[in-house]
Parts: sequence; structure tokens; C-alpha cells
Amino acid sequence: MTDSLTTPAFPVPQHHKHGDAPLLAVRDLEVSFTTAGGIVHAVRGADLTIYPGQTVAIVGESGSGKSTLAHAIIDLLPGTGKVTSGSILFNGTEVTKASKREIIALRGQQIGLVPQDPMSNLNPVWKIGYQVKEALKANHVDVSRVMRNTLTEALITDEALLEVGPNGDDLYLGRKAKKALLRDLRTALAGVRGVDQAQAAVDAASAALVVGATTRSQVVAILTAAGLPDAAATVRARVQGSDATDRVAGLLSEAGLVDAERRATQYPHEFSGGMRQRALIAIALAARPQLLIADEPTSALDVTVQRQILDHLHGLTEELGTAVLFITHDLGLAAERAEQLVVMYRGKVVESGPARQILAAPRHPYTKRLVASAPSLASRRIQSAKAAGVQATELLAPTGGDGVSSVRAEVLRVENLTRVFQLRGARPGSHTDFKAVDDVSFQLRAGTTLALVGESGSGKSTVANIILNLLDPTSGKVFFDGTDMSTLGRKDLFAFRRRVQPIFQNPYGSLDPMYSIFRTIEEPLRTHRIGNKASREKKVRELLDMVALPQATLRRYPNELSGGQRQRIAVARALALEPEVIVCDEAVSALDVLVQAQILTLLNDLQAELGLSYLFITHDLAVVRQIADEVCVMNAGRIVEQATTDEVFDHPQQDYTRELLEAIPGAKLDIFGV
Amino acid sequence: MAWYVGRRLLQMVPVFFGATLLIYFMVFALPGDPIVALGGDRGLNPAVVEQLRAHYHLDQPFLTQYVLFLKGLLHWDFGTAFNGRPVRDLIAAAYPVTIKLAFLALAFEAVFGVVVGLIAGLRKGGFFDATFLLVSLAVIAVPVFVLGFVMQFVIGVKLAWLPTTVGGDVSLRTLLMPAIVLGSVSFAYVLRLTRTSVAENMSADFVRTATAKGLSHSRVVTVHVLRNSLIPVVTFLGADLGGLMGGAIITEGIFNVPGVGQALYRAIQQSEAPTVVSLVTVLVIVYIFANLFVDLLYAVLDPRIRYV
Repeated sequence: MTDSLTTPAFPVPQHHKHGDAPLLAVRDLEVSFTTAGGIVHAVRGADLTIYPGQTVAIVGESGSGKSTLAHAIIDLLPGTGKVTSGSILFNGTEVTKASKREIIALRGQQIGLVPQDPMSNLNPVWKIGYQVKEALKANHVDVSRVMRNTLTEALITDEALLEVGPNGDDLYLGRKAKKALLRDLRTALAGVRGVDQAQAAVDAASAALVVGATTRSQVVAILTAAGLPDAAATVRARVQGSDATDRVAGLLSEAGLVDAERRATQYPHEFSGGMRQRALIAIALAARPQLLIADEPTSALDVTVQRQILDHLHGLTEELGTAVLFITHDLGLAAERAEQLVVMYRGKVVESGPARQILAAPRHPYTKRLVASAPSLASRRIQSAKAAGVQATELLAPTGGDGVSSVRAEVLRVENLTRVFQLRGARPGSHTDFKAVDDVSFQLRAGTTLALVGESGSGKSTVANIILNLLDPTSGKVFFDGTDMSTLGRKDLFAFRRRVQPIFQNPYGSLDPMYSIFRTIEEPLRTHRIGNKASREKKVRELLDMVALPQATLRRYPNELSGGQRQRIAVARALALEPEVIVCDEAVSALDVLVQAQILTLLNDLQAELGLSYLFITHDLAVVRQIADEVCVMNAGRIVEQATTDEVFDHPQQDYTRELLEAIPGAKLDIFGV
Repeated sequence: MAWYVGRRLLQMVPVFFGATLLIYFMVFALPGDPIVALGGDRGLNPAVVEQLRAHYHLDQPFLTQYVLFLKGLLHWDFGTAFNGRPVRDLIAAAYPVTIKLAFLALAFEAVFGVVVGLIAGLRKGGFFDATFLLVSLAVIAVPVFVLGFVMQFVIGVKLAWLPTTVGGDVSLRTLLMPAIVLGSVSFAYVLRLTRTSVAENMSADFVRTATAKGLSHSRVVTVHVLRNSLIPVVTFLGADLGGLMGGAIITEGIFNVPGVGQALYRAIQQSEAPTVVSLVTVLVIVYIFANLFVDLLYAVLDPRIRYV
């Protein structure tokens, strides 16, 4: 099996329309990093082929070498990274042997890069427009065509100028020309139609004409449709071409940014994450490269935004005929977006082929595990398994739907929770109120899991902080075990902390790097003066067993552990005080899928064993499917839908919930033939 | 923005009163009688002493002296030094010299610190980097007066490239050596700050994106690395300007520069309260304005900073 995989035998798709020469051919590539601990081989003998216009996805967990491979293609390996052997042939250029000048010519102009984290990939001190314009200038994209146009006009007839088709005509509409054309349109229509009707037509045309992106022949079509007599002649007279500023606005509009002309004059910090990613897409596509490398382009974004951006990117690259190398850790996403999949594991390509084929019949053991644990796909499998009557009992039992859950005793209840933050205004003393949490009520029953789902900014973490008593509500009450928390004194509060414990998102930040693992887990016991030294040590050892970590871990420090191991430590620490409720704030969001699946299973087992109740806060509906009994969907501080997990997934009541469900990558894939 | 500047200027009022009162008190509390000390070993006629005391209000209680000083300020009268010269004239004579010296030192440390720091940051771990890290360490470790005397001896006496002292001839040529000595420690700090900042920014995500756009290396460095790296450096330089003016006492002593440092030193020795307080108050105000200027410049360099 492996033999057939390591040979560069990528089945060329039959529907291929761009000829047979590959755009990119990576053969037997080895990349290594020199570290203090020796040489690390990040990529080991990888092969990759991309044909013009094709979309190929590399899937793998963090550290699998997928990003390293992508960066090697445009010679952007960080630090001590070096290509030690193998070849990268791009469009006839051997990248590994190319000169600096050739590489710079390649970057941007032929290969574009959409980086991973939109927050850190734009220079904070330059305006968005400037950063896009830079990409145009660096790649010698000729945007000041005014002069050339004048020259051409002098040489050839006017008709010939306008005959250029929509694809070949790269003379774009400029700001001034747009204004003038709209004025012409208004004058022309005012006489014929009524003032209101004329205005409506002008507004429609104004929306359709995008400065810097609409080509001249498109302008003619739009104006003819709007009712301008002899549009062609008018356009010929008016449209002289666009300058660089126009083109920047056009590129940003193309990437899906609304009101691009004004947005181009803003700074990155005035943009949301999704808008920044659109700007980065505009930069990457500015010089119309033949290959676009998209390195986890949306993993830092909310699911609904993720979907919009990927849809847009897909449409755009399709239209431009750009080949895409899509890098992701999400198998569902990859399968949905790419024709070909390449699965990487520990620097090696372990499997490659058509996306659906790999998902339906994974051959390599790693791919099999990956397919089994992908949350977006796994949730579908649980569903199908349930239909077959082989449900995982502790996972689905409390959901019964026939009132089982209502029998359970309530452990936590929040009533009409509201939290208002004051945002400082532009003048001293002035401020605006921001309702982060707005009239939220729900209850958590003993031994069950309630998921609080929402996008970033929906107020779900604020709710968690209020429940953990780290933040006071503006109004509303939290009842724990029937007691109103606002009435608790210092002592009672201390006792309460013992019964409710948190697990936070980032296992790298939530463990003290200076504390050994033993001290980390023992600390809550010591704080609450439980047992003596010997009994505490015994307890810590038990806890380690419970989270399935070897006893040797005790003497180690957080930086010596992997992300998954650290999150297990965080679970052990939360369990140390034998709490009744655990608040998991995005507890698995930062982990790779396989690790995520392990932690979720662990949490499930512990719940069955110890009768724990979880308040599970997440943005990931796929995870909810795997762990929650009941779901509260939050949007803009309010709970918009509240029901059992099955109801929410099978019969969502609200549009917003449906939107979230739609956005789960891979949700639409029907691989398992259910 | 206007609100912010207004608030900052308002903050100067308590700083002004606090600083002047404190300094006035400290000079008042200095041991010894300044008038008696004026006479030296021979001693003065008691009548003359009395008359001088009354003239400088030294017979009044502390608070009265202070209020009288403030009252004088209202009339733009900073008081009179013991040699009969109005303090205002003293300020007018000493400050331009020190300002020239401080700005020259600032220019030296900014230009050389940033250039050397940039090269060191780009070649982190290389020979150039290691050499200048060592140099900067040496400069920080060696006291200013040692550096001053050594330069005086080598450049001024042995090589005779530059004059050893300034004296009455205040010009760019004579001030060059004192400025280098004055700015040397800050030069080392600017170098290290720039180096760290550049090295950090070189591995920033947005720099990689800029490279991926197809920009040339020099453009990436100047447009995307340098400007971002200068933000902390500018903050340091602004705060340092005040320090350079106040810290010039030793340098001015070594090179005999007729500036604020020298005047202040003399006034403290003679316990001339109005002179000391006036000189220091102007220093405090310069310091506050320099800081305000830097904070505003900070907002120009970094658009994320918005003052409200």
C-alpha cells in the first residue's frame, strides 16, 4: 500500500481541463530544522502535485509538517529551516535552486499566500489600502493605465478598444469615471422617467459598478441595463482606466469587503478578524497568481464567518482559474473544499487521492483514526450508529427525550442574568453601555451536560465568569444547589469554589510554568486544607490514573508536555476537589482533532463514573453533538434557542441555529451513505 | 485628542507646585548659613549679614519665603542670585547651551543607536551583533567621567582632533565630544532596544506576509520592520531627553560647559534657593513637555493608540 502512495502517482482527474503539465510538482522533499536538541526532520520525503486550476488540500495535525511543506514552496521557511533534498518544480522553475531574485519574482506574482492568523498577519501601523497597494507595486502590476490607454486610443479605432471581451479587458472603472457616469445616467433618465425612478436606477447602477473591479465592457452592460442610451459611446468617453487606489478598492471588494473604498483608508485594528482575512485574500490575489497557498485561512475565525470566507475564496479562485493548495487540520473542511486530499503524518505523506475516496475508504491506519475522530464527521457517525441501534450508552443515555432529564435534580440555575459593560466614550465622562449578557436563564441538572454555544462576542464566556463568581452580574441571580450566590459571604464563597471548578481553553496559559505537575494538581487540595501530605500525594496519584497519565508525569513541568497532556492535567486539577460542576470554557478548542476526541471521551467517562455536571462552553457545534445533553444557543448576549441536543440538531427552530449548523464543515458531505 | 492634551497640561499644575515646594524645602533644609558662607574665612560685618538676609528674605519663615518666590514668578521675576545677577538672566544664558548639548547627544544616540541596532538585529547572533553587544555592555558599565577623561586625553590631547574643553566658545565643534560622552550610555540602551525589537519583528507574522507578497528584502526591512521597531525606541528617546538635560551635570563639569548643570551645581553649593528652584522647575517643565510630545508622537507611529 505504502509503495503505491510514495510513488508520485497522483491520479489525474478525468475532468481536467487545463492540460497535463503540473503547475507544481514536489518530489521527495526533505526539510529539516536545526535545534539545540539536534536536527529535526519536519518533512520527510513528501510528494505533491497540483495541476493548474486544481484545489488540493493537505490535512494533518499540528506538527505534521503540512505548513512547513507549504512554506518551503515559497522559500519562507522560518529560522533554521532548510530544504535538505528533493525538488520543488513550479511552472518550470526549480524553487530549491532558484536565486533570491527568482524567488522574489515568484512570490506574490505567481504564488500567493493567505496566512493562518488574520490578527497577526497585517502590519498594524500601515493602512489596509497601503498594504494591498504594496502587493500590486511589488509585482509590477500595471494599474496606471491612463497613459497607455491614451496612446492606444491614438493608434487604433474606438470600436476596437471596446471590443475587448470581459476576461481580457483589464481596464477597470475609476472613482472619477464612476461619478461622471452616474451623473450622465441621472441626466439621461431624468428626462425620460420620473425623478424617483431615475434615482432608483442610479442607485442600483451605483451598487453594481465597483470601482477598480468592474471592467469596461461590464460597465457598458450595466449601464445599458440601467437604461442609458448609447452606453458604449459614453463609457468610451468616460472610462480612462483606474489608478492604483481604485484597483485596491476593487481588489478588496472582490474579496468580499463591503464599502471597500472607505475601508482601504482604515487600519487593521479597525477591522474584524473576518474582514482582515478578506484583506489578506485581496493581497494574495492582487497580482493574480497561478497558485494560492491557503494556510489554515479560517481556523481563527467563527464558523459562520469561516463559511462565508471559504465560499467566497472558492468562487473567486474558480473564476480566476487559480490553483489552490489548502492546508487544514479539519478533515471535514478539506473534503468539502478540495478535489484531492493529501494526508500528512509526522512529516510524511501517508495517503493521497480524491477527497471522497479517502474519506469513504481510508487505507492508512492514521487516516482511519483521523476520519473516525473528525468531530464534524464523527457527529454524523454517532447519528448513523444511533439509527442502527448501537449507541454509545453514556454518551446518549441522558438525552432520552422522554423526560429522563427533567427527573434529575437541578444543580445550577441562572435566572434573568444580565451583565452590562461600560465602554469609555470619546469625551471624558461619556460612555456607552454594552449588554454582554442579556436576560439569560437556564438550568443545569446533576450528571448532565449543558452546552452554551455561540460565536465569539456572543457573551458565553461572560456567563461562565459570572457562574464561577469571577464577575458580578448587573442583574439576575445564580442559584447553586438552591442557594442564591449573591448572598454568599467570603467563607461560603470559598466553600463554593470547591464545588465548582473550571477548565479553560488554552492549556498552555492555564498551567503555571513554574509549578511541577504534582504541585499543580496538589495546589487546590492544599488551598482547601484537605488531608495531610501523604493522603494528598495519594490523591494526586489517583487523579493522574483517572486522566490516564503515567505516574512519571508528576515530576515534570508543563513545558515538557504536549497540549493534550496539559489539558489532561487541567482536568485532573479541576477534579482534585471532587467538584459537582465543571465549567469547561472552550476546553477542547485549542486541541488537534485526535486529542480533542480523547479528552471528550475522558470527560464523558468521568461524568458516568463520578456523576459530574458539565457546563460546556464552545463555539463548535460538532463538539456539542458529541458531549452535550442540552444546548443553549447564544447570539448577541441572548439565548435564542434552548432544547435537547437532538432537537437542536434535528429540528432547529431559529434561523441563527440553522446557520450555525450549516457552517459545520463537512456537514453537507454525504460520505457514509446514510 | 484635544481632551487628552488638555488633561495632560492640567496635570502640570500640581506637578509644578509639588516640585517647586519640595525643592524649595530641600534647599531651605540644607545645613549652614549661606550668607555667612559668602564671607568665607574672613567673616562679614553682622550688619551686612542682617541686610543681606532681609534682602533675600532669608529672615522669613519657610512658607513665607516660598510664597514670596511664587509671587515673584507672577511678575516673571525668578529672584536674584547672590552675585546680584537676576536668575532670569542666568536661565537665559545657561539653558540654550544645555539644550544644544542635549539635542546633539540625542541626535548621536538616536542615529547611531538605531543604525547599529538595526544591523545587529538583522544579523542576530553574528559577529557584528556580538561585537556591539559587548561594546554596549562596556559603555554601560564604565562610569561617564572615566569615558569623558579618556576621550579628552585621547581625542583632545593626543590626537588633538577636537578641543578638550568648551569654556566660552560654545559651538558644534566644541560640543561634539561632550555630546558623545553624554549620549554614550543612552546610545547603548537605544542599540539594545532597537536590536531586540528588530529581531522580534523579523519573525513577526506580518513580516512573513510582506515577504510572501513579493517585496524585496530591503523594502520589508524599511517599511515593515523598522517603523514597528522604532515605537519603543522613540518612547525611550523622549523620556531620555529630560534625563540628558538634568544628567548633564557631570559631563558639563568635565568639559567645562557653561550650561544648566554647572549653574545648578554652583547654586546648590551656595544654597541659593531661588536659583536652584528656578533652574529645576524649568527642567521639570521641559521634562513634562518632552514626555507629552513623545506620547503624541507615539500615536503618530502607532495608529492603534488613540488618546481619549
